[in-house]
Amino acid sequence: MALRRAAVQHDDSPLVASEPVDVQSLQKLYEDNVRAIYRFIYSKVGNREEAEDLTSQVFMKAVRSMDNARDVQSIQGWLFQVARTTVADHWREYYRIRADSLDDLLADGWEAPAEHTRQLPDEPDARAHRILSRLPARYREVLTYRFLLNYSIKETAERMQLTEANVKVLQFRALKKAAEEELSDA
Amino acid sequence: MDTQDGGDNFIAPFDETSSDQFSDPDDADGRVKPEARDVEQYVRLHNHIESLRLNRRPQPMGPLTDQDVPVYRMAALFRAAPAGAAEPDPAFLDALRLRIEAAAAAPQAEPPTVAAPPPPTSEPPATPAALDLAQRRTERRAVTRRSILGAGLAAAAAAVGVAAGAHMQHQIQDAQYPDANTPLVPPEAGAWVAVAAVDSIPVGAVRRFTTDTLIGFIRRTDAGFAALSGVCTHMACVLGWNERDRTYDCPCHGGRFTEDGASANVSPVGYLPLPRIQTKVEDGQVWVYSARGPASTTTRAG
Repeated sequence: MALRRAAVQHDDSPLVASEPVDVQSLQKLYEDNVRAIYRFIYSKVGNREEAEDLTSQVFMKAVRSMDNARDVQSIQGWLFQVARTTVADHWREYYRIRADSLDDLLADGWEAPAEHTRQLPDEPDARAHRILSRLPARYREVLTYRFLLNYSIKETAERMQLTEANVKVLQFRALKKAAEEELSDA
Repeated sequence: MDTQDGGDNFIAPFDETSSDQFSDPDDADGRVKPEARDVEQYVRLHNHIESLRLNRRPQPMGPLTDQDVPVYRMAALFRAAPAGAAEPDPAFLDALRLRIEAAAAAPQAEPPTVAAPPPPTSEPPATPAALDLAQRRTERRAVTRRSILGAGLAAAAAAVGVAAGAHMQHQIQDAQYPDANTPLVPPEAGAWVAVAAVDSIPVGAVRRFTTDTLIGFIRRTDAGFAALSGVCTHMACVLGWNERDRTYDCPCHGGRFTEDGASANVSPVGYLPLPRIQTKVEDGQVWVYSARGPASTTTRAG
């Protein structure tokens, strides 16, 4: 793939490991964080297969880089930073996003600005519902059927008394509008 | 319905092969025809969403443009919105825990850097961890349950009553187990609600219904009507009806149920069966015995 690597600050370089990781603190790190990391990644990829894959990558990186001396809070912040860069790399490679457009995204706050990286992201479901509540009724309706209630395109079309093609247009526009709302949410 | 974007007037059938026949849902007169590249965009996003609904890695496609990216990001975010959807599968967590412990014990056993994501394939990689995960998913019978009612519920309820209701329904379902013969709503605890005209459901068909307090499916067989809860017994996600395989499929963790509500063999683990809901036929209508809600339960769902 003829892709440049974006000039994004990658802060997932291994921390200096002064001593071998002890298994107990590793287990604690895992138990304390894996669900939140998974939810975060899931909200960036939207499917289980990729979420499991990327979550595994994040924690395998953690095993190699964990420093016992780090306090809990900074480990958590660091894990989320690793998750962010792992997701960004994935999007870049898998969806072949042009490197410079990804830079724009980063500048737009797709990933938290560097000075906020120690702040944990809020829960994705709450964010989705917040955005949803601000959309025009028709957009909210189509996204509710398609994403919250898992209706097929056919079922959605029947409920909304539209053609299936109309639903395809409407879901595109609704997501586009949602993205605009999210920007103003940030 | 009130709308801020004038999207109420939808007309004209649509042929996907021709943008000429593509009516614009926001254009009351149907005069604006989207350009071919717009149609391509709609179809492409739709295919992507359908992959996500199957919880699969989407098929590779052309590069996303700057305009596409925010839209696709939103699709991923909204996939995480239903109750329980973004919760990891307990079997996955167990498998990854083992893998991490093994890597910590023998740091040299794993390569020093994480490789790029493998190329898309329908086959999972045959690593020991993946095999272990597959095995655990098959063998595991006891499903971890967690209450997922949280601070976000009030906000969720305000946005979509039905999705929030799924939490409640799930809690009732949990309380009912293990007596699979006990109806979800016990006698005296609810009220009858008409949800469909008898004639609207042919023999062999399955229809979704909602009341103020329940989400479920009505099924018509030669023996008459039967109703089942439409909320997954695992983590309260709302099930979809899969006409091709005739199963109820869960969008969250791959759970599937047979037409009569049993955990299908293709489920990752054996789930509790879908609770049944009492039905009756009266005045040409199919009625379900629904739990009483905060308001009167007279919502009719088509």
